[in-house]
Amino acid sequence: MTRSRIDQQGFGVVEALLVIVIVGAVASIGVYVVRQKNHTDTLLTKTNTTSAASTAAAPSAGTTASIDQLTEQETQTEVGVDHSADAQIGQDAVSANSAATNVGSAYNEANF
Amino acid sequence: MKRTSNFSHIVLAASSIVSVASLMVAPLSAAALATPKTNAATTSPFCSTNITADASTITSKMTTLSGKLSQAWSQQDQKLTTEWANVDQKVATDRQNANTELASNFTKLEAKATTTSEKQAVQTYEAAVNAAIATHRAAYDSARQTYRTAVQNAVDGRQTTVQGQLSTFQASADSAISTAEASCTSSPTSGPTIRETFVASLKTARVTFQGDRSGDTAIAGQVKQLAATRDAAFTTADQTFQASMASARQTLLQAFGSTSAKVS
Repeated sequence: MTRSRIDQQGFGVVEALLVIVIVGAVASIGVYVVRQKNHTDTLLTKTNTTSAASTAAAPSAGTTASIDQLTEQETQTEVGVDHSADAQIGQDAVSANSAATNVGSAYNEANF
Repeated sequence: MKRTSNFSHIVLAASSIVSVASLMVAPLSAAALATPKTNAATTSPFCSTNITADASTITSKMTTLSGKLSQAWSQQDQKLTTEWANVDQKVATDRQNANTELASNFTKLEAKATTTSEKQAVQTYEAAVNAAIATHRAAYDSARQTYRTAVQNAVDGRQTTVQGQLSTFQASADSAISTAEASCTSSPTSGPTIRETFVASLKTARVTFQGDRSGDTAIAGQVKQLAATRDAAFTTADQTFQASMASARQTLLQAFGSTSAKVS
């Protein structure tokens, strides 16, 4: 009588927990796989982009494209040199201002 | 007894003479001592000692500070010269590297020319590129030199202006000192009034000079504007250069015709 009653309980708490654990494990594995795939795709995309950019940035030597790029780099470098110096020259142009200001504090007539 | 009496009379007489003499000398001594004391009371401390010390302090300090200003100007000019020399050095290095790379490219380009017309086209292209680069560099050099000259002129102009303001400041301070000294000489008892005038004159001179300092920062804006003008000249030179390069390239590709891909 007692055994028959236990059999009638069917899907118990233990079975339910087991199902939850299995479903959770499957879901976790799925998420992990999807993330790995996305990461791999991103890396591939970046690699391809970099490769393409490198190819575009370095045309074959002995071509007009290479010479154009060369002269363009020379120009950019020169402009960069001038612009880098501009900040320092701007500071140099006002570097004596503090000395001029100091002359104005040669005396304090209130002390006389 | 009689001798004793005579002696007493002698002592008494001598004492009387000394006493009378003392009474006569005392007023004279008192008068002699009183004279300097009366003068010290009437001559003000400002006129007796302060003006001399103040003048010395002002003159010394202004000499020191104006000397430092001259030194700062000298260093300023030196800094600009050094900075421009650095730019020249970097530009020269950049151009030298570009020349080396260009020569290497020209050699490889010449190797691709197989026919007489192609070889001639490469020579024409190289000459055009060299001319375009020379023109471009000359334009950059000119713009750069114009910028530097203008910056130096602005700095020199500012130094001249400040020097004038400094001279006025020093002259005003010197005038205040000499005026106070003259007033003290003519009227040594008027120290407080002379001092008030002296302090007011010094204050006016100082405030005027300090107010002039507001113009010192204007040069920063001028230098920026000059750099913008230089950059505009750079841009114009770039456009001319790119047009020349495009023309040279087009001529070369036309000469190579169907095989232009190997040189483009």
